[in-house]
Amino acid sequence: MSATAFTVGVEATIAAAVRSYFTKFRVLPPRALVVSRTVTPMGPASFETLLRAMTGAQTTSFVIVVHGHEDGSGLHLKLANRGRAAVGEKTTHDKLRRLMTIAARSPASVSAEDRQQLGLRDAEIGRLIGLMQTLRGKNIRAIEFRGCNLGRNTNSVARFRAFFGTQSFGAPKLHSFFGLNPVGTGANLMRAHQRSHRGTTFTYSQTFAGKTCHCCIGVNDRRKPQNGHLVADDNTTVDAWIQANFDATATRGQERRLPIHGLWKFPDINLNDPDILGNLDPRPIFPLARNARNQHEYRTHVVYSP
Amino acid sequence: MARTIAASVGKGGVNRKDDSMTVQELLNGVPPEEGGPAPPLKVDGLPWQKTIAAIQNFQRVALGFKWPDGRVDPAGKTLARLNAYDAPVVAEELPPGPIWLV
Repeated sequence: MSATAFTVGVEATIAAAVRSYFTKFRVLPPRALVVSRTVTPMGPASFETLLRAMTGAQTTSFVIVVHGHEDGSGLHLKLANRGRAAVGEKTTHDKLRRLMTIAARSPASVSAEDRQQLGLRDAEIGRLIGLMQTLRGKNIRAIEFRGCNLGRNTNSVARFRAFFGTQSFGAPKLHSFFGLNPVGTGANLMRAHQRSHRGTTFTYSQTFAGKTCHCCIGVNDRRKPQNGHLVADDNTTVDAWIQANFDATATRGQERRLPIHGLWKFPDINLNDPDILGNLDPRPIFPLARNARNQHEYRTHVVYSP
Repeated sequence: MARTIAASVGKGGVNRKDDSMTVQELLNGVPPEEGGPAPPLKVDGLPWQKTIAAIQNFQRVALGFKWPDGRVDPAGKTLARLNAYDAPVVAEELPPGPIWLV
């Protein structure tokens, strides 16, 4: 299923990393969307800009990379455009519900409370509803949201799906990350790569045919990922690591830096658990990752609206 | 050692040939995903449209300029940042690259 990826409201460096990722690894699990283009629409960083870009796209499947709220309540995008500025409240599930309620009224009317709750004027509300209806008319097949946390809130997943009228809407319930990791190989690096680490760094190792690949990820003081690199015994092992985690047929090629994407898993902590002193390290879950029971783990952290 | 230019290169710049070649070479050393040109620039010392566009793209992506001016000045931020990509790679060091949460 061919899809367009959109980045809106993220920094230029992140947009470039997202573009690099979907240029190298086109297939996004678990719905196997094939990303044909990655686009950063022109205009204010708003939900309206995203909707306009979606209405103009050739595809009916989308990957959306937008910053998400920590609690999963919505997006870090203001609702509408006013000239060159983004205006209104942030795009949360309750604001989408209000827009859908306004659209369903007969005859159509906007109350003072609507204006105040959305932080918009009537014309702006009207534009958003018009775009919603246009998108519903497109019969969107799938939207995969790849910002942080939206899947934590079932109201969000349900209302975003209803707003777009899409057959499938998926969002992760974990933090989502993109990065550009330098890649190095050889015995010397394998022995001494730790000297290049910056700050607290966790090393996640995988072995293929007796050779090892270390994926090292540095975290900030909140244990969220902020940098990384990849070190392996040789290039064949790098390729095996890529094929185990991102794309079963891809190789490193000439890349000095490998674009990466994943979800960031904090351990589930049960304070009544006597084994609380076990491994509490956070870890990445890459798109093709499998857990100890050989289940597709990335899939288990993407929530779909029924 | 950091590379220098005697005068400005790019849009509205003095555009001396050797300075322009230095800038073109430095731009070609930047990975495309971090704002480097793809395909690489021809190193001909002629800083016309493609070179100016490459400077602007680098300023936008690597330096976060909202309004890139497309010019590299001898003591400016753009040249300093370009030189950071030109630093020799020390064997057995692999500085980590950035990871961003979205």
